[in-house]
Parts: sequence; structure tokens; C-alpha cells
Amino acid sequence: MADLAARPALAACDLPFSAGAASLAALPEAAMLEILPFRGRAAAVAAVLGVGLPAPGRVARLDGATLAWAGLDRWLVRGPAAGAALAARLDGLAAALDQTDGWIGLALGGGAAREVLARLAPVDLAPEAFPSNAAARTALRHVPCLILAAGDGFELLAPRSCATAVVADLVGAMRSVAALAEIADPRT
Amino acid sequence: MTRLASGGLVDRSRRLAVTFDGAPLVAHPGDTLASALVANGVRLVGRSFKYHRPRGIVAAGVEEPNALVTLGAGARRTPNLRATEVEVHDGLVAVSQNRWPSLRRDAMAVNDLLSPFLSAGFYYKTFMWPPAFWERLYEPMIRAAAGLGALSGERDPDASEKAFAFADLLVIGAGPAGLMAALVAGRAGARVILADEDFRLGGRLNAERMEVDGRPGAAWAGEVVTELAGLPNVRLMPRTSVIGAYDGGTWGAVERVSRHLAEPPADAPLDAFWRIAARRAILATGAIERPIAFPDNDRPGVMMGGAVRAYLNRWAAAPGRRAVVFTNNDDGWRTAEALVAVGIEVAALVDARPGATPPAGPWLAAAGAVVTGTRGRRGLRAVRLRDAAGERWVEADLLAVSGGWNPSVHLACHLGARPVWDEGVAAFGPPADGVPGLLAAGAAAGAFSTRAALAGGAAAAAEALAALGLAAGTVDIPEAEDGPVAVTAFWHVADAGGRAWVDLQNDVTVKDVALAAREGFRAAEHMKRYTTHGMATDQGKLGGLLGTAVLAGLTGRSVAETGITTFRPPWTPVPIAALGAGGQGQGFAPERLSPAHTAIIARGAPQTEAGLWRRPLCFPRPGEATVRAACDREVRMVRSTVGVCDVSTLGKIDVQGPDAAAFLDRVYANTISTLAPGRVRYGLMLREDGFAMDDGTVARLGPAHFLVTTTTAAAGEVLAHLDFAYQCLWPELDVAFASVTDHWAQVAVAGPLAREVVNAVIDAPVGSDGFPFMACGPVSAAGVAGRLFRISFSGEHAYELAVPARHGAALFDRLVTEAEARGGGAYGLEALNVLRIEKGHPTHAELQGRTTADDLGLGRLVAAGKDCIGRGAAARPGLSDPQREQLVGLKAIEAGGRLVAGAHVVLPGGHTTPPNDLGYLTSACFSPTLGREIALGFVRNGRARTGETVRVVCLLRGHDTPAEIVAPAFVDPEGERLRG
Repeated sequence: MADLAARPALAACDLPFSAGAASLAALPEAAMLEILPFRGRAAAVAAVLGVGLPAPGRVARLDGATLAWAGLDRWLVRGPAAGAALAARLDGLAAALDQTDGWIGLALGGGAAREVLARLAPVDLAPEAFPSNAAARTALRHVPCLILAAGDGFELLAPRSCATAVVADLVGAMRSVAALAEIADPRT
Repeated sequence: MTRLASGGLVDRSRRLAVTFDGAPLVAHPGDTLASALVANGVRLVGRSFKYHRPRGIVAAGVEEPNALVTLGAGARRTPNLRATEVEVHDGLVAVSQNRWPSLRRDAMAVNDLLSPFLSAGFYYKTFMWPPAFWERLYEPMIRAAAGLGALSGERDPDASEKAFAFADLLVIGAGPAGLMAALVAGRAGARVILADEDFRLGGRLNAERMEVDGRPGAAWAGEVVTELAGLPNVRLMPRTSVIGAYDGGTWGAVERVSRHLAEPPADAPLDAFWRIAARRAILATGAIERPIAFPDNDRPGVMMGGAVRAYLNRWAAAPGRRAVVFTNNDDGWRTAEALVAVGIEVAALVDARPGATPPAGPWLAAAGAVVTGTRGRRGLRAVRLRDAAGERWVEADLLAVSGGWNPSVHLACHLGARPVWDEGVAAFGPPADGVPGLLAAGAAAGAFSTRAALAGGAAAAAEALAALGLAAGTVDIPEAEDGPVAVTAFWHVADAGGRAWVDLQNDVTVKDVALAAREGFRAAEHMKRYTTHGMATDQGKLGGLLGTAVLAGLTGRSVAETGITTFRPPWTPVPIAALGAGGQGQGFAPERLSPAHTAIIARGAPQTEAGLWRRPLCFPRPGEATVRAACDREVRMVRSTVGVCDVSTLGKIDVQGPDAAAFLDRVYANTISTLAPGRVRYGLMLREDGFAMDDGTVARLGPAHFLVTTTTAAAGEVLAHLDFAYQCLWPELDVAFASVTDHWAQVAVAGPLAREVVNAVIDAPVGSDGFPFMACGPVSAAGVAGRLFRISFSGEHAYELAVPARHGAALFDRLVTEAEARGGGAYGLEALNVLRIEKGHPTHAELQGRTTADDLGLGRLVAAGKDCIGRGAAARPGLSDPQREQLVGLKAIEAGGRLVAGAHVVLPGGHTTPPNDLGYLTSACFSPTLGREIALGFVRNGRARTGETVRVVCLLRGHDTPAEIVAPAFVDPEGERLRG
């Protein structure tokens, strides 16, 4: 019997892409779980994860995974450690939904990354407002997304079905910001 | 040339190619189009809106009413731009507006002779009869005669963008007050945005000769701007108009990003629409000088005094050779001094205030004197003065007018607060706390001296910093002019006859205001609407208060009492392209693509929209010229062999937890908790008001694990509904749910051979015993862990097979290949729809928000033994009244009879009038299975009418079809095919 070939979520997108001082690339494919602890089980879930569940707007880095607050009573964990074994350990403690194929992951970097996101997301991403452990559940133009601080840049998670729309919006904003850098003339 | 020999903030070393109505202008970097026109001696720049009177430049900024021009050509043509705000660049092509054939010879100028017949509201009174002429003749005629520039009508080739910014402090305006505020806050470490609509920051400091801190004001401003540009916590936004104050400290602003460039970079937006969220804001918008109404005060050459100084000082452009200055305040005197300082003769300094002591100078100084008229059709030639000695004409080509200054308080009033009359400056000042967190400073707060503006900006910044919890360092207020405000309100030279304009852009005169008052429109808002005063694109920035002050005088009230019309966003005209930036094409709504999309496209399927999703309409084969042909074949294929359809777009919500079953019992009308693991049940959700909301299936994957499906379009609505129920209604329930729509690809296989096709793909074949109708369970498909559901939307023996999305395209492809090997194939949305109509399954055409469970024939689903959302409301007798319209099937009696959705069901033999109307069709199609058109619809007491013949009438398309009312399930009503 023929295999059911796997098609990467970003197969239709021309990545990596860079313009001016911003670069966009696909994050390495990784397992992803959406964890919704049952009542009174948050502490037990945290014990399994080995780290406290991050507060709203925060992300924690685990060994082999990233754990981000993703909405009321829910967290997203993404990385090699977020596979079926983790889901099994959470059995009875939380709904641990496999979302590996539900989301796309992008890395936006470079000195202009903030200016690029300022064209798409209504959140304050300045370092003082969005520190290295910050996460924002927000929108990239129309598409619901999760923005995570990641070193000097950002990790962006968005629904798989919107991959081409999200990448097109990001590429458009990157081109615009690169053009603006050619104009910039703060002295006038 | 009228460029002065020296001075000005223009780069004389570079000359830019600029034309106005085809004539070249000598222009330099630093010029606006208006300053270039002044510097080239161009006085006639436009024709007035209604009377087509020759008009010249009046102002030097955003308030300019006359100098509206069209820039560019072809699809890039942009009309109605204020020449005073257009920054020149090489190759700029500007043309005047509202004139034909030319600015000098304008045929419509005859309107001016007809002015006695064109008073305010004339069109309401004149063009009344016959009524049909208004739309066909009068309105097009008036629109053609009175007007502004026109758009090209072509698709806009440029793009604008939207952007978000955040700050501790937004400083609006970069004059002395704004610069000082930004400096104080910037040095204190606050995140500051300093926005100004000019391309050169500095405000009036660039337009005056006054010194600040011992240096020319413009030089001081330049130094401050340099310091601010070096602060990482300060963002300078020149060319940015803050256009509105909104809730929660949010401001709208439009940045002109690349309009000033001869050759902008390819990807640069034209404008950027900013939403700025600021914890505090400072209104440092300065003030706008106001005119005085006197006869023929609209001629080219009549200019605001402050504008005259701006042209002289900032642009070294002389607006005239021999001037008269007319003022009611001491600031007007400065204009006379500024003119003389550059060698322009000042014939007279006319001060309306009796007892004023204008300074001595090489001019005739007259106190208690007024201007009573002007001469010069295409440009001012003479001014008539009246003083104690009587009336006389004085030759002059420039009349500089100052009626005092109005603080620009508009933004402070955008949330509904009214400006407050300030007798000290004879003007309306900003309301206190009109916008939470907004402080006014400088001229916007009525502090008109330079020193007061500097001090006010610093003080406002200190106050804002304190509120932000930041410490302001000590900042010295620079030395600067600190003259008192000396103004006596003077609006209108009343007893001089003639026409005196209060609104230059909409051609409103004192006579119009008087007529409004006579006809009872005495409130400022009523007068505005009757005369159109303040309703032009400048929104009365220049003459707004003048008009209401004249109204106050005519009705014997004070200006404070009469008030001023409401200030609303936007502060200045905003291109629709900026407001709608990013909304062209795909930007309007993102497209969602199924995981099977590439496989679907590869099979040549035309696409249609379902919500945001793209779905295949059908899969045409060679020789099938129409969608209908492909659809008919696909329906027959599913009914006779097997069809494959991508259903990944249906909403999928995973529900888990000890209370999951109880939760679902409460949100579904029917009982879910009795469902056995490994089984699926149809479910109907009601809204709180008892009407049907959405339907779908619920699969019980485990004891405390359910998978809910929703219709494609209602997935978001249903998830929000569940969130509301969980968070607000029953927070005590231990349940967890989330959308897994995007994670799973799901493909339906339907038809007599469905099981063969499914078994060819899954690793452990299913049979009828182990996997009956409405079974579900985990399967492995080519080694991929998936889920199989035996459910059917088509009425055929059918399955839905789900695998993680990455395998969606391959799964679809495999299933279609297997189906094709058995005489089947893929089918699209059209066939899906026909199949479900034939089976009588409702969709959102039927669940359209006005139908109840009973209407849908699903009343028995509303379980008796438990409560659920909408149950109480659904029990109201009116919601199951037999006289309600109930879901029925309709079948055309004749093979060629037409049934279309939206058509009405009418009693046979009656007229097509409401009393004979029984209902309407919601879904209709040609049924290949029945060989005629069939429909679903809602008919009054419809179930009891089964077997009756009715007329189905569509007056729009001219159909009148006899049809039989039948049960909604046309095909296999007993469901034998499903269970095979």
C-alpha cells in the first residue's frame, strides 16, 4: 500500500525570505500539544512538565520544548518533547490535544522585525513591554496568532489553513518596512 | 519672481521642476506648492465652490480653504489636496480645480452674477418640481457646476498601509509647546511619539523671526529636533496628522509616507494609517488665525496675517508689493513689522479697536478703523478703509487680516466634550478632561506667547510624567518673547453692504447666515446645515467660529452662548485608501485552504468560497461544459458507485473532561450523555432565544472524550458560544475544549461502494457488523493514525476518514484514485448540496436564525428529560404554532418546472399577494435522481399540507411553477442505504 505522503504546512510558501533588515523562515517542524488542565490539576500538570505554567502573556522554555500561555486555561507546548509520550503522561490531568498539524511556526528576525510586526499586530512589542519571556495571543492582521519573544526576534504561530495568507501579509510588511528604511529621514 | 533675495528655510542651491496648470514654477526643496506659487507671483489658484469666484492662497497650513489642487495624472490622480500641505518634489504636476475651460476664463463664473438667486438653501426651494427631475437633471447639473476635483475612476495602483504604535506620551504638534514637552519627557526616559503634520518640525518658530534662547526660533527648534532624534525612546513622526481621539487612549493618525518623493521606492506605501495607543497625550496643536467678515474679503491677495509672516520668513516669498494690515489684536501689528522688515511697503495698519495704539512705522496707522471693501477681480488692487476721517480707497495688492487666533482644540472635543469660551483670548479653549489623559499646552490652551508656549509644554510634560510615575528632570525654560494677548473680539464689518464671506470653501456669506437666522435656524448646528457653513473639506477650520459669531451678533446672543458646531474626527481629510489600507484583494479577508487543497487544485476543480475557505465547486471531466453537467454526473456517481469529498473545512471541537457529557447535554437540545463510546449522534444546538443555531455530529471517542463537528461557516460562532457557556454560565463544570479544525484533514467517502474504497486505504478493513451506521473509532491508514466515522450527509452508505493535516492531500488523492478505479471519483460542493437537498438535510440556508427546531421538523430532538440552552424559550407556544412556516420538500410537477431559492409558495388559483403567500424556498436544485427540480422551503403549516399542489412564484425571474409539497427527504426516506 502506498504511503500517505506528508506535506509540510509551509510547502506552498517561498521561505526563507528576507527584505531589508528582516528575515522570515519556517521554524523546524516540531510536535505540538494544546494542554487544558482539568479542574484543580494545574499543579500536577506543571509537575509533569517540570516547570510552572506561565502566566497570561508569558512563555517558558523547557528542555526540548517551548511552553506558552495560549488563552484562558490553556497552554501550547511545542518542541521535540511535546510528543505522544508527554500526552500520555498528562492523561487524566489535562486534555492534551495533538495540534502538531494545526499550526504553522515561523521565525521573524533581524533589526526590523518589530517594525514589520507593527504593521500587522496591535500589540506593543518594544523590549520594555515585551520582554524575553513574553507571549501575545493576538492577530496578524486578520489571523489569530501567538507571538513569542525569541532572542532578538520572534516566533509566530498561526493556524495551518491560513499559512499562505499569513506569509503573504508578513512578506508585504517586510517589503514595506525595507522601503521605508530607504526613505527614513528623522531630521526633517 | 517674488522670492526675496535672501532668507527662508529653502535650499536655493537646488531647483525642482514643478508645474501648476502647465506653467513651470521655480521651486526649491523646503517649499510647499503654496509657497512656490507665492514665490512665483501666482495669485489666482482656484475658483470658489458655488460662485466660481477667483480665489487665492489665504493660509499657510492645514486650514487653507481655497488652494485645493489635483496632483498627478492617470490612475494616480489625487484631487483636493491643500497646496499649503503639498511638499514639492522634482516633477510635481499640479492643476487647479473647479474651473472650465481655464482658471482665468471660467465659464461657470456666471454663477457669481446669479448670486442673488443662489442663496443658502436655494436648491431646496428652486429645484422642487417636477420631482423626477431632481435625480435625472438637477442633481447631476448642480454636481457638475459646484464641486471639487475628481478621482480618476481607475484602479488605484498605489498601496497604503496600517500600523500600530505605542507610547507613554503622544505629543501632538511640534511647535514650541510640543517640542518642549517632547524634550522634557524624552530626557526623562519616557517613550515619546512626537507627531506633526508639517514636514519640518518647529511650528510657528519656523514662521516667525522671534528669538528663543538668544537664537532664531527655527534654529532653536532645529537643535531640539536633533536632540530628540538622538534619543532612542523618542519617535519623531513628521508629515503625520493626528486625526482623531478614540476610546482608551487610542489615536488615529495619517502619515504621508512617500507623497513627497519624486521616485519613491517600489514597495513604499503612499500613506500609513496609524493607531497610536498612548498612556498620556499632550495637545500642542497651536492655533489657527481667523478672518474678519467684510465686503469682498475673498479676493486673491486677502491673506491671513500669520500666513503672510510664514511666507515671508519661512519661505522668503513675498505675497505682495504693497500691503494693508487689518487687525483686531496686537499680533496683527507684527505682520506690518515683518512686511517692512523685508522691504515691502505697508500702506496702512488698520486696527478695529477704538483706542488701540498701533506702533508708529512707515504706514498710516488707524485705530477704530475698518476695511469696508476691496477691488480687483483676479487679484486685489485696492482696499477701502473707513476711519474717523471717512472712507477712502488705498491701493494695495495684499491685505493681511487678523481676527484673533482660535486654539486648535478639535481633538480634545472628539469624545463629545464641548470647548469652553475663554474671554481672555476671545476664543474657545479646550475642555478640561475632554479626553482622559490629554493635557493641552501652548496656543492650543490659549497661551499665545512663545515663552508661555515653551513653559506650558514643559509643565504639561511634567504633569504627564508624574502621572506615568516618571521623574521630570529640571529643564530651563528658554528666554523668548512673552507679550500679553491683546485682542478685542471683532467679527464683522456690519454696515458696509456687499457680500462678506464667513466660509470661503463653501461660499457662505454673512447674508446666508442672516437668512438662516431669519428663517429660524438660530442654533449653530441648524445654521450650519441650512447654509453648509463649515461643511466643506476644511470643516470650518478657518471660518467656523466666524460664522457662528456672526450668527450670535445677528440673534443678539453672546458667542459663548451660541456655541460652535461639534468637532468630529477626522481633523483633516483622510484618503479612503489609507483608511482601507491592506483591504484590497486578499487583504480584505484571509483565505483559508484545506490540507487537501493542492490535491483538489491538481484535479482542476474550480473554487468557490465557503466562509473564508476555498472549496471545490465540482470536478469537471472532459466534455462537461457547465458546472451543472459536472454536478449531475457527480450526484449520479455517488448514488450509483462512490464519491469522495473533502470535508476538512467543517469545524471540529475536541471536548474532554469529567463533566464533558454534562456540558454537551446542556448545549445540545438532544441528549448526548447517553451516547456510547464509539458512536456518533446528530446534534442540534439552540440559541438562548430558542431558535436553532447550528447542527452537526457528536462523536464519543472515549468515556470523557467527545468530538463535536460544526458547519463550516458556523465553526467560530459555535466555539464562541461554548466559550461563553463554559466561562459565564457553568464555570463549575470540569470540561476542556478546543478547536482541532486545522489539525485534522477529513475526507468523506459516500456511495454503495464506499466501504470498498475506505477498506482499500485503511490498514484493518471494517465490515457492517463491527462498524455499523453511526460508528466511530481509531483506524490506521497506510500507517498513519487516524479516525473513521460512519456518518452520511448524502444519504448514502458513507464514511468520513480523518488523518493529521499533513497527510490530507495524499489521503484525498488516494481515496479519489481508489474511487475512480471503481467507477466513482471526486465530487464538489455543488453535488454535496444536491445530495443533501435530496436527503432533506438542513444547512444554514435553513438554519438561518429565524427557524425553530419544530419548524425544521426536529422538535422531537429537544429532549424532555433535561435542560439545555434555549429549551425554555423554545417551549413558548408561538415557537411550535402549526401556523408557523415548517420545513417541507417541494417537487416540480412538470419536468421542466423551475424552482429557485427565494421564490415564494403561493396558494393555487390566488393572486401573488401577501394573503395568499404560504412561505418561501431556501434551497433548490435540479435533482438528477428525480429528474426534475426540487427544493426545501418553509410553508405555513407545511407538514399538514403534504401532497398539496401549490404555485412556486419568483417574480424577479418570472417563474410560476406548479409544485407538490412532499416530505423533506426525497431519496430513501427510510434510510436503508445508510445502513447497508
